[in-house]
Amino acid sequence: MADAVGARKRARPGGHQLRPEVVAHHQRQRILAGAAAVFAERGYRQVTVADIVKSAAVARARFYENFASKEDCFFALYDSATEAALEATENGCEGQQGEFPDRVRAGLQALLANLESDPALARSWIVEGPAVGTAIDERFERLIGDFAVLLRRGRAGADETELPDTVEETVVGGLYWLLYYALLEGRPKRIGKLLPQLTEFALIPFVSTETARNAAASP
Amino acid sequence: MSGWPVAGAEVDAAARERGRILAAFVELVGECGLKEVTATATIARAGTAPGSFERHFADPEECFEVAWDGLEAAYLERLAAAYEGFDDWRERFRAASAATVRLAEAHPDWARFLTVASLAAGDNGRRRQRAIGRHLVALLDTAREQLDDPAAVPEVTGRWILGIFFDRFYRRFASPDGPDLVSQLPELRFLAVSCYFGTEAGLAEFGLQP
Repeated sequence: MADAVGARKRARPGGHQLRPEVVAHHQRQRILAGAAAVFAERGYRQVTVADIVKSAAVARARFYENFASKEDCFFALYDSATEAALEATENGCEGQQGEFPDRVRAGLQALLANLESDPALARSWIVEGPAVGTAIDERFERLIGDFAVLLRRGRAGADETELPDTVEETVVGGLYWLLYYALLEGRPKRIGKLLPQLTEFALIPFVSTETARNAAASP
Repeated sequence: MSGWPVAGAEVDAAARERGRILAAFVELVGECGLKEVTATATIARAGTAPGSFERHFADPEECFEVAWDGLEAAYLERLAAAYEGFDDWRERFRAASAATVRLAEAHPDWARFLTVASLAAGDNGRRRQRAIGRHLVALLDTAREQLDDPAAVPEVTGRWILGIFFDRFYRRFASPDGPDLVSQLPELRFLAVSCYFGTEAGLAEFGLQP
């Protein structure tokens, strides 16, 4: 979403050399960045399309060229942000050549860095997502499921303990709501400090307590 | 409709009317969200007379607050009744988590209101959830009293355990066909006990009845 944040700055006059699709993309990103700022500040329920266009500094007509409604805009923001968070986590895991606990820690570190890089965006999708109501349910289920797949894939062959198939989803769900409260209580800049604790919680079902705590404590 | 938790069997007509309105309101908020619920729709669902909503509540926001107070009190009362009398944290926790699940499955309207609908109800809903959340985290964290080295357990462990339970409740009540909670209990207990007492202790929870 850094792309979208950068896009909030107005294009310089004389930008007519740009291709129309580039301009359209730029405007869409600017609207999304403006939307993230107001959703984070005022909450999904309180925000109107007028607030979004004001925050993004675009004409109302530009908004409706890109989105059918506030909800449509929020879903675009949610999809883009969750995809980026998942990709960052996956890259973090794959970039680490160590054992399962090291990969989990690296993935969580990358996730937290992603969230810290844009606190407004993080608050928008994590805290305001459930405020949308039932319309978000399918996306929420998919989000938890996608992260659970990542955790399940990472631990394949890591241990022989037979656990229920749902345990990864439960762990991911717990991590989600832990981040939710950290962001809700206005601690976005301190979210990175949760890394050792998140690491321990993510690992403890699958490895010994000692191994989980060692991974959590590793520098 | 789940009805309304009323202490004592003998209540007057006004209290019965109020209870019917609150039960209808809780049901409607769970179905459509607080913003969409009106006094007219509530009394239509409750089957009470025109003007009855206004006799008891200034507006839907006030009704939300009163409904929350009633359901929270009913839940905490049953929670306390379930865990009282146990000295060991794990026994208290098993009893409390089973009572929570039983109450939620018996009254899905109440559970939906307190979990899913409240998150979509704006700042009031979140504020109320945070308050009861802090209370439940403090109860969970009494596990530290039984540990040799309480500081070895991460500071936010209680919050995480609340998170895994909340996640299951949220997903159970966000859709009509969410996975049942009773079958999830051993897994939830395993995760909670593992965090405080280690994985071996946690695994023992799978051998117990839900």
